[in-house]
Amino acid sequence: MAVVPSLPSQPIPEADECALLARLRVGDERAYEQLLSQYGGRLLAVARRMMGNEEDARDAVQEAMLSAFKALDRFDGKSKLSTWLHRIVVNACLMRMRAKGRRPEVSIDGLLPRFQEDGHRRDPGPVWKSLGSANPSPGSGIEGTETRRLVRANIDRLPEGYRTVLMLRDIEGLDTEQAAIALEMTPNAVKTRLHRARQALRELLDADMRLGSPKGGKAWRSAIDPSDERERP
Amino acid sequence: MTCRDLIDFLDDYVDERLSLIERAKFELHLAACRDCRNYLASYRETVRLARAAGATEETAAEMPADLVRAIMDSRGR
Repeated sequence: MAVVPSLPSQPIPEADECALLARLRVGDERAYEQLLSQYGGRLLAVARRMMGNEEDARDAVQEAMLSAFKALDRFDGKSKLSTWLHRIVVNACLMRMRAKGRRPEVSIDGLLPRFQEDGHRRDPGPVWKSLGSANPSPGSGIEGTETRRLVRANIDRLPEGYRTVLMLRDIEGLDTEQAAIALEMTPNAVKTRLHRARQALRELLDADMRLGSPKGGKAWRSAIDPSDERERP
Repeated sequence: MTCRDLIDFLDDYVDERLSLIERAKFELHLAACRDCRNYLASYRETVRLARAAGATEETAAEMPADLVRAIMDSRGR
């Protein structure tokens, strides 16, 4: 099974993590509650990103945590507890997404760059305006917050197969091999799909980021079948 | 190398996976093509923004008490 990198910030030091693990393994009820309160919020945030709605996110976290509790004896300590839990939540989300059924693949060709017959660009390359701080640290400015919101909204507009690859690689931090295993795809297919997803996201962001363009001028619906739009809470 | 070829190599260029010869061809095209330079800059910015997109909610997120309770109750069954 894939090993997922650590969550962006670690909630407790390693020594405390070992102590918590020891208490979990002897069935200390309060240790389970501590685990949920210390790691659960960020794991729920992961599930919300992946599932796109609160109900599925909560169900995925619940499934993941229950399976983690059962598997605690098999946790070998080679990765951090947070890393191991993150992997389990990601896998629980992917399983739920598969269980809900794959949607028909939607073409994103309309969001990819277009070229003339001689291979040169049909459209001039855009210049993007300065984006301000996208620094995710707490307390960063409103411009950063609004930019992140815009980016998230546009990631959610990608067809599911592209959105999932981009989420796993660029947000959840899986490498190509790990994403390939999680998605049951070849590494080359993951690379190709990620490249297309990034190009499509770039195009979706273009109307807001382009220097001198009126905000929101480009309708993604003209390029992607609107029936593919995910349900959002 | 054309603009279309450049797109095909974009990810490998950004991740520094191109051979020296491929990289030289890529950069030769970039030096002569302002549109591709602009596209590359916006592509890089897209990747950076995507990577930053999930962080704030994660550091601020809390586990709802009712979900903690539901998981603890299910564990006891």
